[in-house]
Amino acid sequence: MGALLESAFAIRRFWGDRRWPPPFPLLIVVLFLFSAIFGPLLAPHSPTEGTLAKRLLPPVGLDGAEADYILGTDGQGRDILSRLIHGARITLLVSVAGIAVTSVLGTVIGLLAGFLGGWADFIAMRVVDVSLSIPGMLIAVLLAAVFGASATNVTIVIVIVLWPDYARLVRGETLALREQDYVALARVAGCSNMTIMRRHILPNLVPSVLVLASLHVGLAIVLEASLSFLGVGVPPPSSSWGLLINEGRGVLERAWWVSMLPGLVIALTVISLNMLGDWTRDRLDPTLRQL
Amino acid sequence: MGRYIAIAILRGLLSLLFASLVVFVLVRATGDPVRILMGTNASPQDVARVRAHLGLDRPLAEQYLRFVGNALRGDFGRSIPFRRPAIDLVVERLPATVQLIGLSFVLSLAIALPLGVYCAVYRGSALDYAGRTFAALGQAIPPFWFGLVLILVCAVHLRLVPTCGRGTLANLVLPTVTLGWYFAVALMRLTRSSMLDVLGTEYVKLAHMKGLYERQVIWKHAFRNAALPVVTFAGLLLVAMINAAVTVEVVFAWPGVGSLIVESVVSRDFPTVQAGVMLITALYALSGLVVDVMYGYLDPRIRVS
Repeated sequence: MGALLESAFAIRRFWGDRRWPPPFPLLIVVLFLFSAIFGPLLAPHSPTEGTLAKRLLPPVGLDGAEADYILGTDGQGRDILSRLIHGARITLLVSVAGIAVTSVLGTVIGLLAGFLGGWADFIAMRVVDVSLSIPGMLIAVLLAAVFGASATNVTIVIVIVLWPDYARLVRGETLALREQDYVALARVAGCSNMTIMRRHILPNLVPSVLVLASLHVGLAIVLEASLSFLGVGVPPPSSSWGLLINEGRGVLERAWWVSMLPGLVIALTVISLNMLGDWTRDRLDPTLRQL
Repeated sequence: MGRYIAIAILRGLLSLLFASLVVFVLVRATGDPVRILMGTNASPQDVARVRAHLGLDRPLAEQYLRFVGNALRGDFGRSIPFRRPAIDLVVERLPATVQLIGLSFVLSLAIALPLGVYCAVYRGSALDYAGRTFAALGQAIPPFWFGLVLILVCAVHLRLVPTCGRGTLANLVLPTVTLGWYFAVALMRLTRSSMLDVLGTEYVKLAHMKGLYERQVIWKHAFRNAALPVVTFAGLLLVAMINAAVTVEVVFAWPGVGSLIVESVVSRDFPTVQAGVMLITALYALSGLVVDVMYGYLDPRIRVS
């Protein structure tokens, strides 16, 4: 009886103490990840081949819809649902790659600047200032003009636009961590600068970098969509969400769903990611409220 | 204060210099501009002559200095399809962009400041919840898509305003709302959290105890101090608006610099792209300068450090 009660308490503690992520955003994000990973298996039709006879079919529930095309078709008779599902993969790849490169780059620079101080710090912070004063969207346009539109451009632009945030955050935290007693002790014990940075400071930076990254994913998705929308991001015939919105512009009056549905999907995904980001922040480091 | 302003100006110049370097490197990375200019079946002698004429046979450092020198005089070469100086094309389009960004900025301040302040003052009320929902939605919706939604609802179905172009006051409504709304959201969030911090301080409590009117406490004592981070952010916002304006201009066929640059990319008109990017960056640096100076004025502590 005692043991039973004990385990009941343990279960209660486990479920009760844990603050679970908000369920609805979690569901959306899981759905998004699922379609990004298993997209080609899930999509009912080909995302690039359309049937011209079935152009601009409305989504199910409207007059003239076909049950086979749940979200309708675009101007070339391609299934919108399939294109959205395939687009999830591109969106995920570009935003995750962008955020990964950015956060590593920003963290390394911020860490070196904060820890070494002096000239390294001065130069790093001026580069941050300058980066902030260059219009990222125009750099993207320029890159596209030079190298042609590509997913790589989008990743580069995400890095250019977002890295200063990481550098500044990490520099600030490093400045505080550097003064801790355990850093002084490590130095007395004979650790090199490199070892102190890697083993004693870097692990303490991880939570805030993770929080910033989780808050940035949504931003990266919107950036990717904007660039693809302008025709300087992911090029056709792939089905990036921004591209889908752009393709629907010409038929906005006749077939609103071609543009409206992808935008709705972006908004839902980003809002869910942001809410999960807020949750991550509250779990890992509530002092980062300002981010 | 003089020294402080000098440093701010120096910073602006530094960004411009860096931007010119980026533009120069990217444009040179396209490969041989002469080949693009003359096509593939030009004779080697002709190519060499044109290259010497354009100074492309010189060392890169010299070419860069020449590029900067020309840029300072506003000379970015001639637009290829229009056969006119590229800078003229850009300058013609500038008023439209400045008008759009200026109006949107004012609109976003007009929405965000009162909303942010009152959401903080009446924290937890229905107004606060409405404000926060508005903020969560606004952050997630891409501005260009919101623009399309507005076109669909206001222009196509309700027929209230024209969908695109520039000229009349009605043309301005949709682009301004699209751009302003997007930034109002971010600004409102910051105003709210900044106000919440200030409202908890001792001097605000004291102001209440002195029996001042609520309105006086909020606007004179609390808001003035909460305004500092908001001002810095407003400057960054102006900069971010220049970015977002590009997509909004394209959606509404607004004849500004952003849409010109995008059109020029499509027609591979490099001189115009260069001129546009450099001019926008200058605008950027200038607004950064204004923010720095304003910040120094509002908070004397900054000037000293």
